Amino acid sequence: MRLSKKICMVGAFAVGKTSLVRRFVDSIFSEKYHTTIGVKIDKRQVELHENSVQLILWDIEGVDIFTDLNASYLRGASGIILVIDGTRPATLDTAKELISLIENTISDYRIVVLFNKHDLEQEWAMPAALTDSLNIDKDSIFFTSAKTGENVEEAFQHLTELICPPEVVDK
Amino acid sequence: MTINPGDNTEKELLAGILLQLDIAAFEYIEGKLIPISTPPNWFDELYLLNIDHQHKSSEYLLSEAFPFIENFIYDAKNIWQCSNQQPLRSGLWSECLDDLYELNLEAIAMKIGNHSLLLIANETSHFELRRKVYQNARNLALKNERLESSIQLHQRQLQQQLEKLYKKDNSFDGVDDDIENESTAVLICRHDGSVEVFNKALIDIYAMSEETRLSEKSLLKKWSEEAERQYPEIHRVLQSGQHWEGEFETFDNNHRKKWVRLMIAPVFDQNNELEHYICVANDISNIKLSAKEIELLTQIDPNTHLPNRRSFWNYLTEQIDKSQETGTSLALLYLDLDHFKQVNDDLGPEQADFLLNAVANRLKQCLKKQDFIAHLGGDEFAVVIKNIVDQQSLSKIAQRIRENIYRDISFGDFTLNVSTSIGIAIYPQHGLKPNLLVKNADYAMYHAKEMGRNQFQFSSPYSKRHIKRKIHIEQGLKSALSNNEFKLLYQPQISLEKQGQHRIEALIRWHHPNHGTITPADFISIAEESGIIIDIGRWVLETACKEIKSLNKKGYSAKISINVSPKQFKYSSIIDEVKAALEYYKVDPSQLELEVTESVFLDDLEQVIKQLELLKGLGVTLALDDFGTGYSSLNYIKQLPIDILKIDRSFISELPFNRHGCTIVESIIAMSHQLSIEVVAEGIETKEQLEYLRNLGCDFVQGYLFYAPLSSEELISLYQSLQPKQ
Repeated sequence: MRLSKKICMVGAFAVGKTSLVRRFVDSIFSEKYHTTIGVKIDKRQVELHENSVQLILWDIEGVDIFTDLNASYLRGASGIILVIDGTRPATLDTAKELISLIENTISDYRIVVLFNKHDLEQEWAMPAALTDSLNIDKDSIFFTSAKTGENVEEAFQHLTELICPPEVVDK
Repeated sequence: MTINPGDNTEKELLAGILLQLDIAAFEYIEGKLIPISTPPNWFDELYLLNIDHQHKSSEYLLSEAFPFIENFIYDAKNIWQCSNQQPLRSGLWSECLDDLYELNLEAIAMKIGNHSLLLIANETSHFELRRKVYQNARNLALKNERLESSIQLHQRQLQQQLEKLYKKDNSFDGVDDDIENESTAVLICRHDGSVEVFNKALIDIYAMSEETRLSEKSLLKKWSEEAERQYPEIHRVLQSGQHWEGEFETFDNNHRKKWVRLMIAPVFDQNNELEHYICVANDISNIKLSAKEIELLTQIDPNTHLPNRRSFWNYLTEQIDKSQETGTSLALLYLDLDHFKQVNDDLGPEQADFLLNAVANRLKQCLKKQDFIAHLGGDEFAVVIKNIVDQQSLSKIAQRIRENIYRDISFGDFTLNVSTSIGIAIYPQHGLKPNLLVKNADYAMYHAKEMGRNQFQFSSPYSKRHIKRKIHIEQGLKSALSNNEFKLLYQPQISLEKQGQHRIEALIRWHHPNHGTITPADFISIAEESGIIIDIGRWVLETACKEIKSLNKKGYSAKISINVSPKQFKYSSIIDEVKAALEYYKVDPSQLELEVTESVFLDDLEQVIKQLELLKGLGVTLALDDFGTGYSSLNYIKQLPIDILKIDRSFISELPFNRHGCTIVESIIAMSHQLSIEVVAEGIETKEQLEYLRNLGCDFVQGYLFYAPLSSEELISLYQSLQPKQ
């Protein structure tokens, strides 16, 4: 039987969650901001330890003044991808609030944090002191760009490894 | 409520409702999800796409096919386990049917009686509008956020630059030149608040006069007092020599309210004693204003930019409360564009949006700024006018709106004019509560439509009663067929030339269980509007054929003519239906006559002629009903394959004393005979009328002078009585 894992993409609105999924699943990118309403579910197979794992990606509508994260969407998630827009400091504050919500909602999950839009060097507003303030293992923090593909594959692969240690995959 | 109705009609009704609402419905029974009717096609397509294997049983493995539903079922079970729970909605989720087509769905869990239900509703058609609103709001919020963070970044850079300058020679001398042309306001003061340096941008924010300059020892105090309301810790932070930044409301020297973003950075001397504060400020009133606008966006219709339905209800409720307090009155004008559905269907949604936009602009043009205009959705608009003087002034406003909207709208290569029907209700006389006022305005609007559209009506007991009755009729019509409430009566047509010809017109009657007998004049137009006329038409055809068969069996060979609606020509397969009925009841086609009115030719004359010719090919005869009342053109009669022409009763009633009427009837009969068309005169009530028509050579007559419409049994008795005694 194929191993299947639920991953939730969360973060403030317009941080690039959908773009990251599109890059990871379809290898495409669009400059146009197209807001997500509700949830969009995608799937991708990832090879790990000579086995394949199916990732079920829940791309969840971003958090803003109109929309809170519906905590029930997190149920059963093995992995969380928390996305921050590296050019918008406010999205880091949202990320901190989300970490606390996730901690209070589910257990037995792994998290990676993506500081996205890393291609926008000129507008980058995330000094190291801020990225460190998240209290997340440094190996699980990635500076990504859905536009260039920088570190996207690596981040998903890393999360897959975290949620599927060899003993789980080999079973 | 019965979920699995034993009765087939109820089952069909439920299935029909679910299909109309685009809902796939399942019942949760012993851990399985069983469909309660055939799911819509999109659902089956999606399910087969998502499920790895063919599904064979009646059970749908929804959790397997849809991870979103698998997750939702956990919450749904809580609803299903207890009664009296409110339905639970999952929120929207999207699924792709293919690369181009996305479905936007919502799952709803509910408990009805002992039944645990899961509904999957297709929200795709409403989704784009919602997405558009959120897209606009988020685009704007994103812009604001970027602007705010660039201001923040600039403030920090400026403060660091000034601190660097100070540290060079422990003085702010010469700083003036660096900050003079700076668009960000700068104030450098000593730790006691006395001002040392400031720039023009600061004067601009606070509208300071020459005299007040430099004496602004209290500006730091003013700021900390103003900010304290939102940041109670500000005094402690400043006193302890820490850096502070934040946004708060401030008042300039003209007492105008503004929003500023302020950064206060302490500067220490060589002995690490607090010596100065560098204060950097920007006026962010525009950003704050825009944030309010973003919130408002959810209350604005994205196409017309008018307040939407939600905003309308808030406003109306608020204004009614105010009117109650002040003892004033207000008016609600409820507008509905005429034939908008047709425009939407014919021109497509983009052009329809363009039209709605034009209407919104025209409404704005012809109303005062203080009047509230809302787009309630679709083709409905509402206007609230406060402090109205009298009904006459309201009539003038309504008239102005009507005339302004009823002007040509140019779509590039063609123009169109659109009209509106307006219903008006006044607070307090037509309703004390918002919902009653809206209801009454809606009744009045409906009444305006009834009166021929492109006009306005005030709410009145009559309009309310009249429309309520219409709504009852409309609702009653839906079940009248299945409840067997219709009946056909038969009115004989008498041949003035040949003996023994039995011609009858079948006339429908409706016996409503509450309203008694309802005449065709009261329900046919409603049935036409709602499309139920097609089913009624089928019933009439079947019943008439059955009656012919029954008469034949009894030895009476009669021809029955039935009325056929234009809708049956347009939307049903009338030819196949007639053919099937004739075959089923084994009726000689020449015993059936179909009556059409002139309005049938309005849409597509050629197409209708083709259909009529095919019908005639079946062997039935065709009659043109109500001739003279509509678009009567003797010219086009030549093109029509008709056998009989029926002169409308309105001409007959004036015979033989109205000269004008006599001339018309005379020429209709003469012209028809020239074209080999026979003529029936309806509504004969007097002997004079009969004699006059006989002299003109009219072929058949029908009316109360001879027979009222008869029941099937009465008709047979009549034929029996007419039979020559053996």
